[in-house]
Amino acid sequence: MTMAPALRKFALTAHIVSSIGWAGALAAFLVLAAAGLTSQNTPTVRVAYVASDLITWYAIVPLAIASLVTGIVQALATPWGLFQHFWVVIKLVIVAAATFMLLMKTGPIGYIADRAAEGALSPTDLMGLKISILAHAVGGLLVLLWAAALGMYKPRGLTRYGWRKARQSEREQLTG
Amino acid sequence: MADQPTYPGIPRLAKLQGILAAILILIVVAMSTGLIGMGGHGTDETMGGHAMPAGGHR
Repeated sequence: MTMAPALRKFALTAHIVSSIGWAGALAAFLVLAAAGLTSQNTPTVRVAYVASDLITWYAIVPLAIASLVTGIVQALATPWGLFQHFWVVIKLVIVAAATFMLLMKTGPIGYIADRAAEGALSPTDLMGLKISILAHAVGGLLVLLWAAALGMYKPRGLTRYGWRKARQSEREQLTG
Repeated sequence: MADQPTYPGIPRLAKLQGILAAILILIVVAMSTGLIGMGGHGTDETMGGHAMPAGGHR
């Protein structure tokens, strides 16, 4: 599959913007989760979780899905391929895992936000859940930094499939 | 006749990252199945003593 240069640039821009946006939105979420866990001020705690639910649904989830989809399109539409280089495979796996984990966490985040919106959440309530939400945000951000580093440094290393494709392409160039 | 080139193998850095990615997948699977931590189907216990309504809040 190949793309016209203009379309490829658009797809790359969409991928970079959605990926960086995802990390930025998650950083904002992390601040709210930390405030919700550590603040002793009840209104602050409640606002933090209501806001974190909004950020989850209207920023993090759409950007995560956009990043994953544009990343796959980007890989398939360029010579990198999806399964030819280790860095692409690893990036795909960790971003897919992070997206799945994020979707799993939307339920608990929504639950604590509902409790907060009902005025039934105090600074000492649901501490296990609050810690879990913060820990997942930290873990998610680390995974996104890992993915960003892979995309930036592109460490060498062909998969067996990629190596075969490269050899085949070399042979075609020699004979063609 | 020239030797058939052989696959050079997996670079050490790729192996290391593969192991880390596998650990990440294991954690995700364990959480989604409720083996560790709190998955999407939290129980009273994992929700800090408060039951979450079935199917989450949406």
